[in-house]
Amino acid sequence: MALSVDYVIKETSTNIWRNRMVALAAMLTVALSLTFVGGALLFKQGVAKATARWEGGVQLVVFMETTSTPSESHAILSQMVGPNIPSVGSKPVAPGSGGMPQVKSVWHCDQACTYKEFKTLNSDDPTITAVTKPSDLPQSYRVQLQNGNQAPSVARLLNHQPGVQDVVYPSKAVSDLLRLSKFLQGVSFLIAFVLLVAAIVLILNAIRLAIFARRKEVSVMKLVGATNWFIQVPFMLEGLFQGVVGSLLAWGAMALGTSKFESLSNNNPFALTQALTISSHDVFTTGLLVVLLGAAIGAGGSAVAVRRFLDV
Amino acid sequence: MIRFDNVTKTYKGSVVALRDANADIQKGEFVFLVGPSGSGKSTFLRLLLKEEEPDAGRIWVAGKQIGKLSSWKVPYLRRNLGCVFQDFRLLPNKTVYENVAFALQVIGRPRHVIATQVPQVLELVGLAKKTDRFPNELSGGEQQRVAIARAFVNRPLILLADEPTGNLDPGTTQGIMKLLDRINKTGTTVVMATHDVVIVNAMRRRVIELDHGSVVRDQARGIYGYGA
Repeated sequence: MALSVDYVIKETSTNIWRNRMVALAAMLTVALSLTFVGGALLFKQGVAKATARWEGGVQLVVFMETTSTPSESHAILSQMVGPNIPSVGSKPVAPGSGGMPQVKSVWHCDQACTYKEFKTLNSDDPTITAVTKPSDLPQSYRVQLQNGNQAPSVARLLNHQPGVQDVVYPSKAVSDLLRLSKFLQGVSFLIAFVLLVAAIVLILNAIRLAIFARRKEVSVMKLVGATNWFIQVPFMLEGLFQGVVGSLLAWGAMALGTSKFESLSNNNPFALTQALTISSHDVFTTGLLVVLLGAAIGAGGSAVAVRRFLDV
Repeated sequence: MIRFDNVTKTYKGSVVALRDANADIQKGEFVFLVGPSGSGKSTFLRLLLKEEEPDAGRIWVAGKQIGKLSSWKVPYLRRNLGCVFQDFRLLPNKTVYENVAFALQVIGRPRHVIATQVPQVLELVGLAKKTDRFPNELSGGEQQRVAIARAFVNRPLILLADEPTGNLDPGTTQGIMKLLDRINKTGTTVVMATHDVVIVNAMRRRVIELDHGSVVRDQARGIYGYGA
């Protein structure tokens, strides 16, 4: 049997209007919880980008000049891991005899590897990635130390050697950022989870009230032989609508928050926020995810309500 | 058209609503279902609508054994059964026209069908001039006419009426009975549960009498009771 579109739209919209206060509460809770989810995801992405170089416990990076010779490169490697190890690949290798005692492991990031990292770091700026070739970028050794506090002294030993462009290690701010971000993510996902449950319950309750408000219509519909599907669809759509509107509000809040954050960090040379880059592309994909999540919450909540309270 | 085959229905607390009931109602018949309160009249109608399931026995409606009907087919069964109640069950926020049209809308009838059927049936029940009134602006008899129009607009094979005149005065009752008689003359089977001695005796139609859930009498052209 055909469900006429204008019937469904009319029913759904009058339902929502009659129930507007409850619907508003449900939508705002969905918006709030999804803003937390989206914000936490964006923050995670921003931190991951800002700290991509320090992934996997890397504590020191030795960048070689793009013009450095293989022998210069080899000399640096031997200084770190000893003369018995002729080369290292993308897998960390522990130093042999004659290597530096402070070094725990070393791996090599060649120009292709650096280019990949470069693209991730600059994903919001396609012009830069377009004009840059892998050969413009330095190869590097990624070093894990026995003790992170030794990074400055090891860096001094390796710096200013022939072929070495620079030796960098994460500042205290970056390692703090990494720890803080883990903590914040944990907390915000926890809050988001609790709010998500609240949002589902509120949608469920909104639909339950809508069903109660229309119990006379529903009983007449059953009596004259309306199919279950016909009776249920407007209520399901009402829940879906609330979920989607809530998630769109969350998307807006995320976009607004991100642009505020960017203007804040652009006007303030404080390195911690400058390191965090959130591209509009990230906001878009996270926004889509949030809308999908909102639709799922709405459909799920109303489906439970319809199953439990619409006795057809 | 309707057949009850040794149907028994017991509610929770072992109240027997129908006990081994048998009945066979042909197409186009007009049947009164009589008996005191609690004798099983409403259960008889609820079983036909598949709002209740019998504990034992089989029920046929329009050639189908409804015990075997899967739940998603129940709405299609109900489209064959128009229903009228003592309390009218109209939607207060819809006009006379909208109340009747609603019954067609929710079973997915196209708009042009609704636009021709609804005025026709409102003409039949004598409410052609009151299509824009709301139920609370109508008398009880008029409200019941709207309910009958709603039940009949889809041209069901069977019209079930549960005490349709229970809330109406004798004059109004007569009008409603004339209307049900007219609907019956179109070929629709009418089953009406009632307490009303006067109308049963005046109409002289088939009477099925229930007492404590058992069919105690089934009489063509009957009256309400031997003692009445």
